[in-house]
Amino acid sequence: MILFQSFGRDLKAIQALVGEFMPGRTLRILEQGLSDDIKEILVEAPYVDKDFRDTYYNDFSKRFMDMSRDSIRLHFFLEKNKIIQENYLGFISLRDTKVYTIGRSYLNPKALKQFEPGFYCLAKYEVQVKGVDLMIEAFPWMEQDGNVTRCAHVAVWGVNRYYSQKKTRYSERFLHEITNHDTATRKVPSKGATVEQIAQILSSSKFAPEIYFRESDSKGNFIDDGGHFDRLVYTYIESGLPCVAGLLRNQHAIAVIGHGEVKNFEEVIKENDGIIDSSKFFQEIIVSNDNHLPYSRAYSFEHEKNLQFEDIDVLIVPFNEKMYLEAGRLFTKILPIFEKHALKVDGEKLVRRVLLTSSNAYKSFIEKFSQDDVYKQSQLCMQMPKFIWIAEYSSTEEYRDELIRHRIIFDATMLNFHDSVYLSIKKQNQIRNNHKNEQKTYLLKGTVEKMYKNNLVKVSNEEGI
Amino acid sequence: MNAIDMILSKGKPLQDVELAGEEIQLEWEQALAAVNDEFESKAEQFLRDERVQAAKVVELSKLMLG
Repeated sequence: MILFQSFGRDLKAIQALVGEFMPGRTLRILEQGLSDDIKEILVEAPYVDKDFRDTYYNDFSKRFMDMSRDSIRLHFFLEKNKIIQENYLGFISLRDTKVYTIGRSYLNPKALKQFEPGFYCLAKYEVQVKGVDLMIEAFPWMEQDGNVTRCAHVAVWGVNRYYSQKKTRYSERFLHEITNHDTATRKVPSKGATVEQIAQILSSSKFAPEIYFRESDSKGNFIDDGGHFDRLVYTYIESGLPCVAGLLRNQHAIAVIGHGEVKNFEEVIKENDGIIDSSKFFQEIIVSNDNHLPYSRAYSFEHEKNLQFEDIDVLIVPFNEKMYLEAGRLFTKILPIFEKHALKVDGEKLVRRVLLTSSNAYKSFIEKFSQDDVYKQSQLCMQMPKFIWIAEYSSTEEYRDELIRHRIIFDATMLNFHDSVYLSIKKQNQIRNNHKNEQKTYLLKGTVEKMYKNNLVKVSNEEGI
Repeated sequence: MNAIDMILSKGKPLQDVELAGEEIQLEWEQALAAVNDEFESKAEQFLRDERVQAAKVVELSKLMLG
């Protein structure tokens, strides 16, 4: 039998029922973190959590201490007695790991007290509650168990589970598999993973990872890199690529999974000239940190006890193997040359927005939103590689209106040091196409196009889910 | 010309779209030639920068995270 017992937002009453699945620490975290908008918590016991079963059979079952192989699930709803999609905020599972007991959890950002609007990497997961099929949009999260898994494993697991849900190319990986990386010393009790090991785990999951480090001197002190590292973090988030991030001074790993809303636009525009990267408008990035409930934030400034951008000094990007061109090279070596000779943006104040996307997603966007038949035709009929880089340029007014005047499409599978890296350059009312070295220029009807926005899920303050 | 090129030459996906005038075409050709020249002149430097970057990644990747 399965027990389904309904509670209000009364976690102490739930603790009385579930006992050591919810020790004081877990109770405190949930009490402080869950939204007051939750009106019903439905307890489901027992629940077979595939991720906990994996670590249980591979490790915990070998221990002398009694541990349950079953988990318990708590489902969260906005209204009582209504198991319907419109009410559902997701679930957390509780496992019998004694201290760090919160297991696999898929939560809507609005299930949390700290919710703020923003742009998130979220995947859709099917959940069945008492025979009712529901769906939850979430970034996968759990606490480390402290024995088999540590923060680095949880960060990789979250990133992998996001991709495996979105793309059939990536298979679902369980925690024991993830922790089973090459190491000279014993694997359990786990002490974590090195940056290199994290990249290896991702490689073994069919990713082609790249590692970036924030500039530092020989003593490890942070050197001002003009915002280059933060720009890389933002660019990959904007590309819908959640990444593993390392905090070397804290020896901690998290996943970076979204960004907040534009908050300092006027100030940045006033203080800067020439090309202004849109990354400068974002003072918050959304992270998945196993030390806190999901969707906490890192800030570009000191903000209570939260992480700051400069705490993050490593970025491990899980590229698809066909994403050869990376953002570092694009920003420092390629864009300045195209801006100088092709766009001729000599000192002009323009906002630049750069991101990676699939050509299918791009074409689908153009088909829906382009108002210019010539532009639409030229883009939709152009043979493109699976992945493309997009660099968009807007005046400040155009940026506010989500419009762009120039757009360069780069081949993400480009050969190094070859100049024919671009597929098309839209420069106001002209478009230059480069199809397999057949270069032609066409005149467009208008000068602006809609800004490309497709990779992230916008979660706003509007009522409901 | 391969079989696919042959089909494309008959179909011409952008056949109804008018090309820009000769002056504009020429301007673009000059601009893209300048792009090409700068790429060529900087290729060595790009390679050197990337080697430095790669060495740094190898050195720091041994660091432990939680």
